[in-house]
Amino acid sequence: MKQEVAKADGLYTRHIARKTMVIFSLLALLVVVAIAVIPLGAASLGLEDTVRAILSKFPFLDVESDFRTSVIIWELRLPRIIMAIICGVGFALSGTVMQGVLRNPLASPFTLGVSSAACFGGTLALILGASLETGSKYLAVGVAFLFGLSTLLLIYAVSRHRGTTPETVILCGVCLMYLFLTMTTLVGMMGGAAMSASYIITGLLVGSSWENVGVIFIFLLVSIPLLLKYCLDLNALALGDEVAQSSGVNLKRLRVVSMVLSTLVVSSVVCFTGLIGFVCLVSPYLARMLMGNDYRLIFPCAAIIGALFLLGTDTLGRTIGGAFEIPVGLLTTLIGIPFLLYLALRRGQYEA
Amino acid sequence: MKLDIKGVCFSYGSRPALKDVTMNMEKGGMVSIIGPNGSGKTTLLKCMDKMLKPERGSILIEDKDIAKMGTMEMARLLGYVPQSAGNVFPCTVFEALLIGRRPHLSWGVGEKDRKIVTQILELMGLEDMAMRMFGELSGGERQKVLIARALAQEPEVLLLDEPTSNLDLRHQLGVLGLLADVVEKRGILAIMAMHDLNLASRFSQQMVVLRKGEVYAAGEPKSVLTPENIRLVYGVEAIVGNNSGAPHIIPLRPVEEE
Repeated sequence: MKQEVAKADGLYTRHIARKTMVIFSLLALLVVVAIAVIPLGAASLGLEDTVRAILSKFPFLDVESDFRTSVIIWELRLPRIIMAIICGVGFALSGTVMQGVLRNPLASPFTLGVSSAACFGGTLALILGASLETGSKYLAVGVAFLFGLSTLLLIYAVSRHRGTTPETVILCGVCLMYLFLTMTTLVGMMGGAAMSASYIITGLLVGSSWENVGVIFIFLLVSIPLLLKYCLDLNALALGDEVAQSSGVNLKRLRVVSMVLSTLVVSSVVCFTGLIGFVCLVSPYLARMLMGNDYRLIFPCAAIIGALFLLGTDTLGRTIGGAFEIPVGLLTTLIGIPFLLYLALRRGQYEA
Repeated sequence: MKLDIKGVCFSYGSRPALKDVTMNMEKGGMVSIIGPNGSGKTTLLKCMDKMLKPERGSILIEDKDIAKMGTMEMARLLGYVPQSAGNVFPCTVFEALLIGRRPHLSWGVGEKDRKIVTQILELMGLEDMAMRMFGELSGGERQKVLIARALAQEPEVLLLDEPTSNLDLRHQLGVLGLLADVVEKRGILAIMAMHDLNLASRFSQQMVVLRKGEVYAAGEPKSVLTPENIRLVYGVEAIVGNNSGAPHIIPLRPVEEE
């Protein structure tokens, strides 16, 4: 009997150690991929030139590099790679939280229409407030956030309604998504910005700059520590509201905080990337599959998977077509649709 | 642990579920709440754990009103066991029990928490299932996990909503016997909504009968389980026997509606 005691305890400890190993392996993979994709792109650069260009920015190393390569690396490639990573992180975390709180594996800012509502808000602010100058970027995120949040509240009200299945909720979400998508196109056309509206719809990381990276980074920096604080509360939701509340979870506060934060994160991202779908749906699912029900592990794992996913597809998009760039949103959709179908069809596996 | 319910009223919309319910539980032990379907048993348990807010009246633990307590403070005092729980995302049994440690944790799961969870798994005979997924368990196993989770919470008062509803005969006796042990060892109070009158009678020191949201009778099993009470509350003719100290009933037939 005594041995059995050690067994369950030991099994759990080993389980956690193994999962932590997986997270660190994924992190290492992300670092490797991020470095490996630097030389890839329309202007193909040699490995040596790339290394030179990177090192040339550190004055104490005294490495020379030609100006063109240096600009391509430092002003185009690196911000874009970092952008893909932090946007991937933002999408993934936002999706993880929404799935957890709504207890719906099909939920994500994309499938609930939150992303496209935020996009619409951002576009509206962009067209009404003229250009996205430094200060107005925060304004655009703010308007995007308001639209995103009101959509999420609407969805939440629907999901609380008696007798709604997870699929019904997603159906409403998809309707809202198309509504805001259409409105974004309309507003874009009327504002004479048909070009920029179409880029918002397909989702693109072309406009990546250090400045935009900075704006998103600030929002992530504020939200992530707050979300981490609610890890144990989210864990407790696994067995339902009653068990969670009885375990000391303040459900109302958890819902408000997590919805506001997840919407804020995704709004700040889509303002600069446009509508990139499915990263926010696929990453949390895979993370849950790998990690089980511990958000202290799910959050980092989902974030890394999201970053890998977006970085991978964006790199693919800017390399396979030669000079013609394929918007990353199209690629994530192509990968995501079969995945969503798979999730929807294996409904028998879980209970609402 | 003293628990007082004073004049609690609650309704779902316009349908009253509890009407002026008053009861006192002075010290530890097992208390069964019995009554027909829709008599307010679950509603009363949920009011005690503040999942539902009474319209009138108050519930006091050690003379402190639960309305003035925070969720964490409540969680350290009371543990609630629902009849069943759905599970959407993969969650192992060990993780399910760790949920019970929530009110004692800030971020990390310590050695002490793992030890407590392991001990309770062993106590409930669940140690072989520690790493199995909650969603893949049978109804009875899930119910045992839910009870185990509440025990891991180490509360002063356990609230159980029909804790034996999904269990077979052997496990009914096993689980209730185990609860009785824990209650006695820790001096805690267990309040159970029960359908099985014989199990309730055998395992509880006090019984409370609810009828249409009102307390119809309360006291020791032998003063509560009388043929008249069973006829009036359940509408069933029954014989009450007394074999091993606790009364047991043999239901005969439904009373003809008048």
